[in-house]
Amino acid sequence: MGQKQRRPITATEVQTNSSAEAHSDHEHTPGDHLHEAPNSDFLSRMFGGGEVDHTTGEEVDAFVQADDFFYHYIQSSFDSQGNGAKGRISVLDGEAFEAEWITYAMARINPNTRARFTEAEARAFGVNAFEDNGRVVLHKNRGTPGTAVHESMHLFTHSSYARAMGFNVNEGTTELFTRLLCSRVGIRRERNYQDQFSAMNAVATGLDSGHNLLASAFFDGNYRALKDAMNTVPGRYDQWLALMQAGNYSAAKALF
Amino acid sequence: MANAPTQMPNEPPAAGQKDAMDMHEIASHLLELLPEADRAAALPLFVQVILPAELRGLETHPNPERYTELVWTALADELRLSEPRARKDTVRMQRARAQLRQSSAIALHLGVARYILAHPEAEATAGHWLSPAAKAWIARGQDQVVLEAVEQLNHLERWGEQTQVTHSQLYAAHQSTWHHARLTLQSAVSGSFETTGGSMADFVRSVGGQSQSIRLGG
Repeated sequence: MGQKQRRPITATEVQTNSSAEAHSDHEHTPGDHLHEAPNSDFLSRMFGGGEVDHTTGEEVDAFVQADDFFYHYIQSSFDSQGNGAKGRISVLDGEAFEAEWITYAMARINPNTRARFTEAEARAFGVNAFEDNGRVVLHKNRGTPGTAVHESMHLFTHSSYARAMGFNVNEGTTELFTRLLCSRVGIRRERNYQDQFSAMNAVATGLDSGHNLLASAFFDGNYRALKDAMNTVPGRYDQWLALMQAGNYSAAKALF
Repeated sequence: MANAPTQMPNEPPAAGQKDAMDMHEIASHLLELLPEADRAAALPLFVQVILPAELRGLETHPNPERYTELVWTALADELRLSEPRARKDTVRMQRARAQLRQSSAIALHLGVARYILAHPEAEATAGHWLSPAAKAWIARGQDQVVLEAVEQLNHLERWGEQTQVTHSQLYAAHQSTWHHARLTLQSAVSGSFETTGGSMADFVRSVGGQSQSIRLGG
């Protein structure tokens, strides 16, 4: 498939101002449904208590293929049948999800006990979704329609990105592009990874062509241009990466 | 006075003023956004919890004025989004979030320290992970690291229990940070790094250690 022309990103498509970001952790959003008294299934209640209208992998693929900016960077992640996220995202009901999660967790050592996680310990973890060997598993009643988009971005990222940049930069960049795609196609996205997102949004808006520099690194593994753009202020890339890896997001943002 | 209109400064203090600001000065500007009746209770939350967490590392930051301005603006904008009488609740949310950020930072210092105490050869390649705080914990030795990690873990468990009830949206937005800080503190207590998550996994990998990570979805 030939390369498509990039669609420019407009300022209104991503949250760029501190007021919008400040809204992130606020508990009093008008019309928000999060004010009900807590009940026993906290995670389900968080997002309405019922079945989430999860976006399918097929839908994510269609959104990406219809978007010049994303398709330009992501097309190489599609297989010869034109599938990117399709077939790699499973939405499971509570029992099946728990069974897969427990299997996943029980293959790992619990640092608290120095033994493998027990079934009870795994159940107590309480997660929305997890990724296992390139396959994303979502709980039918947890997360939001944007969860599958976020996890798809992880599937589309260059294999070296997380290792090169670390967890916080990886999640922040994933969330940056998740919110961008969600805003373009009208998918609701909650404020997941808000700190990491906010810090990466500062990079995207603080550098000339920041979104493209990040996309090139994130999807294609091209770090040089991003590094050079940051190092127009000598030493800034290393300072920024250290602050991000330490989870000091405001300090990282203040470098831009 | 609780429901009286509060005079709200529209702009943060000019950037040139910031370098001379201490926590009390910044707090005093934020307190202007609160009804007078709520200010006395909010002052210690700003000075003792919120600002120290939000401005950690200020003394070594290359642009402390910009850093202070960003933090000030973000906190002030959050307050302005609420009706004046609801702003004390916003300050409580800011406290809860600051507590998590501080706990997460401490967890990483303790995790790095415990790992290097067990694997001294890793110190040579630890680079920026070996922060002054992590070095200080290494100097105090394993027993002190474990004691502190146990205490921090208890705080973090209580934070999770309380915040799920009092600030459910905050908890949902930051639950991966909470999970990872918890795993890191458990490692700092037990000395087991076979399973890690978040930045602790990045550190272990950066010094050549072996660890399985837990990849939680968001």
